[in-house]
Amino acid sequence: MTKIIREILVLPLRLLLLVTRFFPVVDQYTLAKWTWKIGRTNEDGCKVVMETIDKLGLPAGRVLAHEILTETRSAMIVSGIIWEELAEKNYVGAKEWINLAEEIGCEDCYHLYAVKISNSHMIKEYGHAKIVDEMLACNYLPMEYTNMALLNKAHLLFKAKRCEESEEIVDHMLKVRNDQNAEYLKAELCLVRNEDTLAMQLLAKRRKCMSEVDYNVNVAMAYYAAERVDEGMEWLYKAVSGGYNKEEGNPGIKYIIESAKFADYCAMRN
Amino acid sequence: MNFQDALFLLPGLIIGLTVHEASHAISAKWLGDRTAEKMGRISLNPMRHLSIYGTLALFFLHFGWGKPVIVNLYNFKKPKFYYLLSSLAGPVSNLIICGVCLVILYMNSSQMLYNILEPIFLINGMLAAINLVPVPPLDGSKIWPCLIPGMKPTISGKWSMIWVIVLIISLQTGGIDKVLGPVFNGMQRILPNKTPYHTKRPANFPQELVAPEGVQEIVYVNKKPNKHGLSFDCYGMTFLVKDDQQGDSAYVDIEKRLTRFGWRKLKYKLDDPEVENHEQLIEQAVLESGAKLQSRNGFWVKSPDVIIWVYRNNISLPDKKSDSTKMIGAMYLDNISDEMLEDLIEYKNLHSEEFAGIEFTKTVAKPEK
Repeated sequence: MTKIIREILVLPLRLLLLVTRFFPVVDQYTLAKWTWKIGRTNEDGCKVVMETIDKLGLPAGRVLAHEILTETRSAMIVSGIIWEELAEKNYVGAKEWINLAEEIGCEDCYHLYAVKISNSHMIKEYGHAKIVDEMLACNYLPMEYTNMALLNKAHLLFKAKRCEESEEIVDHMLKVRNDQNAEYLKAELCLVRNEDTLAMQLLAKRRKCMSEVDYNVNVAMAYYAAERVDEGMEWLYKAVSGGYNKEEGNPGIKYIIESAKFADYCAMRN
Repeated sequence: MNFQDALFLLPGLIIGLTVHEASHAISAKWLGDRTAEKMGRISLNPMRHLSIYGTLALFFLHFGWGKPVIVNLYNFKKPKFYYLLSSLAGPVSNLIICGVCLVILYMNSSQMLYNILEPIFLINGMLAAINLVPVPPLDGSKIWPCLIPGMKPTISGKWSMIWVIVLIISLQTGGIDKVLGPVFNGMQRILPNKTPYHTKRPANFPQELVAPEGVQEIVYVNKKPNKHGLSFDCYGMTFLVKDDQQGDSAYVDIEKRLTRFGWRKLKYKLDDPEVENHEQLIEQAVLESGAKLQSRNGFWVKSPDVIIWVYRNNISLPDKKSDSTKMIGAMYLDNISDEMLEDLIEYKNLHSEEFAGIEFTKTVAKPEK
């Protein structure tokens, strides 16, 4: 009953929070604080922590997050603050938060998977493949988490040259929805099989949402991933000729562009 | 719908929504996805399925909703087919409840049981029907992409907010009634007859008041408030009900009961301010319908449960003089109270020409089976 009364009372505040996101007439921090005071839900807690960090800084946010975590035992709060810790490059602090959430035994620990998988290259204990397998073993995660795990698994299998298994996963993902990342991986798999027409059809879908230069880079990277370096260089050459700025892009692409092989190719084309 | 009606509907709605959402969750679990189970949705505890705002909206906005069951399609081996099954599980569970209610109602003649199960039957049927409307976020919007080859099952998620607004507008303007109205009428028809109104004449009931066979249409009256209370404008006669609230529920009751007996509502607009001559409009509607009866009159008595509809075979337009007043049919009830009898006699005295040769006597007879 208390929960029902709380939900009814907090409704106007939530609506106001939504409105002030577009028209900041009232201080978001004050609103979030009152929403948490009345609503007491995980979402309200997460919101007030984020607003506190924005307004008063990370130390104040940490104190509040501790308080809220003790009450709600929700990993949602932890995952929110971890992103802030990572933004400050505080990997130790991020790991401490994860350990704390796991010690408390949060029911919604799956919120931590996104943090773990995104930072597995920085926090060594979180083996990428291990986390992916752990996520795939759970058949109760929200769709976005499973999508992330499936995509990572497919990439890992592709890198391990287990293309059939990787394609099986990608096909399964594409049965559910048109996922651009899955389509890109599918294109890479097609290029491995020399099915260029299908690959280009899949890649062409990305053309609408990016510039020609970026599209050329995307196609180039797909060819490189399929270990078809010559075609990759051709597309990369198109991108560079079109004005691709290697300093602003992916460091991996910059490395290729600066390589002697690519320089030779450019010299040959010129 | 007033607060009292909403309260009356609430038990059926709670049962319907709970079973509906739990069925989605159970089917998803059977098909390999435990997301809903992890969220505690495999439960017959209504609090896990009812949305607080959705329930409040029922009272204030006249429509409501439950918490949606989250399904992770990636966990299904055959995403499209299994999503179809899991989406169908909700409406099917409501239809199963309808079936159970109907079987019990046909097997048991208790009036009390009827009063309990009738709204449950109707609400669950309507829940199943409304959820099959192919508009997001309803189940129907998840079903049709699964049936079309080459279409992704998650397509309905796009522009969902716009669809929600379209749905709310169609609910508020009555646009959706065109879909749901026939379903509701059909459901009422298959219910067993448990009301005090009968189509067969009870013993000793005046022969002249028996509705003739083949009479299948009736013109409903137009409700409008006036200085005396609430009145019902009808073709050539006004029914006056002093208590507004009582009149409103009685009007709904009449409509429901008549529909159950197979009477079809004629479509005409009395509320249209541009139409000046309502009588002409009604006459046209009656003639277009091919009905043999050309006018219908009736009167309303004090108790809201007691009503007699009288049918006459004349046209009593304002500019024409009636030349025939013989009654050829009526709806009636078996238990006529003394008060009603007095009203009948009073009415007869006021309209002596119409009732020439008819004697009203008190009858407490059981209907013929």
